[in-house]
Amino acid sequence: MDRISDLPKDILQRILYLLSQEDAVRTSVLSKSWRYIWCTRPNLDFSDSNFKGNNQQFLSTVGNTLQLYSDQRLCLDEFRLSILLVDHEWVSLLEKWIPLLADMGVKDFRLSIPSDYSNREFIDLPVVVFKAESLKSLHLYRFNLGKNIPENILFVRLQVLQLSHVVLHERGVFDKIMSSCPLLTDLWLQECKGLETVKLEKKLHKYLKHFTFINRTNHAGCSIEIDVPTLVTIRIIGCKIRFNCREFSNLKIITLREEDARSWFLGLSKLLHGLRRSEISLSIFQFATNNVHVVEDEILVQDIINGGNKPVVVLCLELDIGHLSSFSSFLNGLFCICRPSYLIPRWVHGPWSKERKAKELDEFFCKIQKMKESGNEEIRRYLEDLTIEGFDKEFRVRLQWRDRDCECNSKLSES
Amino acid sequence: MAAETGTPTTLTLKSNDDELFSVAESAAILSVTIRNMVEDGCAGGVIPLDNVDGKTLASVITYMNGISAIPADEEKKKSYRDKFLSDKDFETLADMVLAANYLNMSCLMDAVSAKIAQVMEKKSVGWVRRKFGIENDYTPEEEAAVKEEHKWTFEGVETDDDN
Repeated sequence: MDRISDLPKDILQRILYLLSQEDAVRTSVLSKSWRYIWCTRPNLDFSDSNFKGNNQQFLSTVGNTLQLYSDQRLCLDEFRLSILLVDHEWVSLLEKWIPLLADMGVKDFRLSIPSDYSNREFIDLPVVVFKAESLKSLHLYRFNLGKNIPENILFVRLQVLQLSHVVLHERGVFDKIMSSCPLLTDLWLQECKGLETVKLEKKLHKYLKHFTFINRTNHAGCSIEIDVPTLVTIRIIGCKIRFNCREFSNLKIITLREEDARSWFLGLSKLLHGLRRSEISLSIFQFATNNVHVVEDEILVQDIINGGNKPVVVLCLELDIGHLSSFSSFLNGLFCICRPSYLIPRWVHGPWSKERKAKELDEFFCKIQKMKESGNEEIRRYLEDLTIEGFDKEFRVRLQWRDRDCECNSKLSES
Repeated sequence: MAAETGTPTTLTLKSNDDELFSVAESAAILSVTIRNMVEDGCAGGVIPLDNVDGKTLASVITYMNGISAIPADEEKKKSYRDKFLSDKDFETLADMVLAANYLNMSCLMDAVSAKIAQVMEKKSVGWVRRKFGIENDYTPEEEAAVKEEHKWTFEGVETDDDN
């Protein structure tokens, strides 16, 4: 026999484990000895986005394969299912499949419904999903949640939870879900209707690392309380969000977008204050500044927009340049609440030539220079020097501040 | 058991074609099989490895020395593994994976398995058969039946004549 067919079963299994479902199944045609080797691999991975065939064929392939594994008592550890085209029929199949997974002892079940077809109707999430103990990752889009939520939710293994455009029908449904997933590392909440408060507590979410909250269309508003020191990334995007957070030790990335200049700055200032012991890199995107209406030449008064807090030291501040009519005022506002060591400009309509970038940067630099001379008193007094530093294709502006009267993490102040 | 002296301990490994190799114990214990022998005190003399030939063992030892010289940096280790395997043909890979299996070296097992999987990715049945010298022992009717059963896996793969 040839070398590969002659390899021990467990080695072939390892090789097959790494293939896509399609490539693995296709090996059955190689020769008689390969006929059933593919189904000794302990993982199944189905996605209708790369399935060649119609939806019906997809569903029956998934169903038949699961049944085969179950009937033959084959080992199945991991089951991944990703579906774009969701309907009631498909959802009802979950009622059959999930108990099957439990019987087979699956340890890692990932269910993803990531489609962004906004015209899809909302479907009730079957209760059986809440009982899927093996769920490691759950991504839901346009579902009704909580009409008949069970008393015990069994998300004991859940690490990634992404809820997008879901409707939470009762108060407390969200809290109930959150209190049943102690291993959660990633939480993504986008346009969730009926979600009024998000409370993240360290005693419940010891392992949480990444949190994203997006609320652009829900006008009821939401309040967010974060007290999880392990967080590495926070993204909060949208309007009418009140948030409150404690100190962090690992935070690396934070993104914020909101409306209304004063509350925008105030919110940012509060957040920075909460993070003052972390090493902060702040990115401000074009979308954010489009929504912040700073009146030309309006000087933002420090005490109003920083809520009485001292400016916070920030390692670098990255922002879009060139399109802001009231750029100086905007930057003034930022300098009232933070002290960036570097300013990194981003170009919205890139990629531009190096020369063009250099020219833009020069103008950008002059603007800050001018602002330093004519800006509000704070800036005049504290911004000591600025220099352009250029790398291969990127440029940044180094800022030196005179004042020591600001909040700063100890690691930064040593350097 | 090796005496606790300041100098690094060296082990002698013997392949199934009687070649002898010296290797630092700290590198050799990447193999769980060898580590167990060392811990059980069986590593005093020559360690016979009955399932590995000299050519393959030489290659495995190169790998052991290379990877153990890299400090705990997963990225660098990965790029070393990629480079180490990049010029190996399938015969060699098959020998290596069997040796890694026998020596119980999961990092080498995983790397070689991934390399073989990568070769099979998105390839037609005909291509894989030729590449690995797999003899098709299906009758045309049987083959057609298996293909029909898994029809969905036959579109969009790299085409060839006898697919």
